[in-house]
Amino acid sequence: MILRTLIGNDVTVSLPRTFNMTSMRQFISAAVIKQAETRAKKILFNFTNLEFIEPEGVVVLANTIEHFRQAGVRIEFSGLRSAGPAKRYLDDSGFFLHYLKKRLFIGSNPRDTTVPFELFPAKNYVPYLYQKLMPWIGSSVNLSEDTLSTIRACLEEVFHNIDYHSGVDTGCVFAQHFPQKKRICIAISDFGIGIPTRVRTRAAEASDAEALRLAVKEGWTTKTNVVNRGVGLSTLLKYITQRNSGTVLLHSGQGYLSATRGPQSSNVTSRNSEWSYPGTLVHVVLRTDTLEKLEDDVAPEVFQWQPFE
Amino acid sequence: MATVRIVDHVQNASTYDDGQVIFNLIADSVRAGEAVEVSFEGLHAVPSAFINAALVQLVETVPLKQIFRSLRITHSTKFINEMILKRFAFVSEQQLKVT
Repeated sequence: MILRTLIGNDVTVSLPRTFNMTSMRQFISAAVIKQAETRAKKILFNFTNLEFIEPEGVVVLANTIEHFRQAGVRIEFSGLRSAGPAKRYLDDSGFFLHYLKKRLFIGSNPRDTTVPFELFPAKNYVPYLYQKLMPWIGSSVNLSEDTLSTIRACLEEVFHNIDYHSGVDTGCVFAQHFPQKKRICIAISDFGIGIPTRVRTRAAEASDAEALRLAVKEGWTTKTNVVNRGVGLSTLLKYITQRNSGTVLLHSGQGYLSATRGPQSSNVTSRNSEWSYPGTLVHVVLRTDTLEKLEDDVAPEVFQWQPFE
Repeated sequence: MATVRIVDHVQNASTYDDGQVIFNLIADSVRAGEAVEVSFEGLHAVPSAFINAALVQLVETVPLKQIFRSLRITHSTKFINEMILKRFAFVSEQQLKVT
């Protein structure tokens, strides 16, 4: 359970015992809503209860911190003395090195199974994607970056979305390889305007769930130029589910969308939740046992125009 | 025939801005009906923003048939070809709806 206490004009928010997609709702509500209600100038994140954290928990935590920092709210951490597994995991990832400028525990080091924690500038994601995330994925699955270039192109669609549409300067990515499950989980998030708000500039009546459905429909776009003619998210969903048999989950506003492999096209379901994600969270689960076959997609092929008309 | 090898002009074929560099190199020739080769040599996959800016943007000023006659894509891959064809098929469909 997440505890919220008011200390003068400060807010204390305790991190949940298990920080994942399920518990992030309470955490965000406690932190964002409470700060908005109290206009607190300082928020203390208490790590005492935290025992387990998943990649999406890491990006949600980082984005929440960035959200407040940009609003001029001071952030402090507490409950860091005991070295539980989640705190060690965060310390190994470089999370505390980033925020506290030091590692917490002796012997903390980056793990092979996680990509080092980093925030990336929305307008300059290329060095992060090309020089850090993709080489890490390549070494995790022992495949060349050429073989994985289609995955890189799909992830670029998410980064473009943040750059072109979120309205914020910073995003956060965290990824973990689960060798025994043969999965790589990649969580990418921003605390920008969110997909539903953007979609409603063209479809005013759309609910958040409908907005997410529209946003992943090929060709549907909020843009009137060619910057991104509404194929980015559609490409991501289609390729990850149908070629990799992976999964894509989107949270934005009150909308929640999941896409999995279907017989002909992706099985996409979207629904409205009772709470609102302040921005967009994209969670991509790659199957590592099907990545090798993607080599076929980067094989040379002679191009020929098709008779479209 | 003019040849534009993408990797000679952009560090990464990634963003809309990268695509715009290629568009600027080929647009006048395609508009004039001249043959232009765009080589994807050294590239295995590119995102839609790059294709939109580099190639699809041509449809705003050049008829589709003229683009197909002038533009030659070489050294590409299955993924790149599908991306290009899908984008132009969609634009073609949209134009048919309008006319």
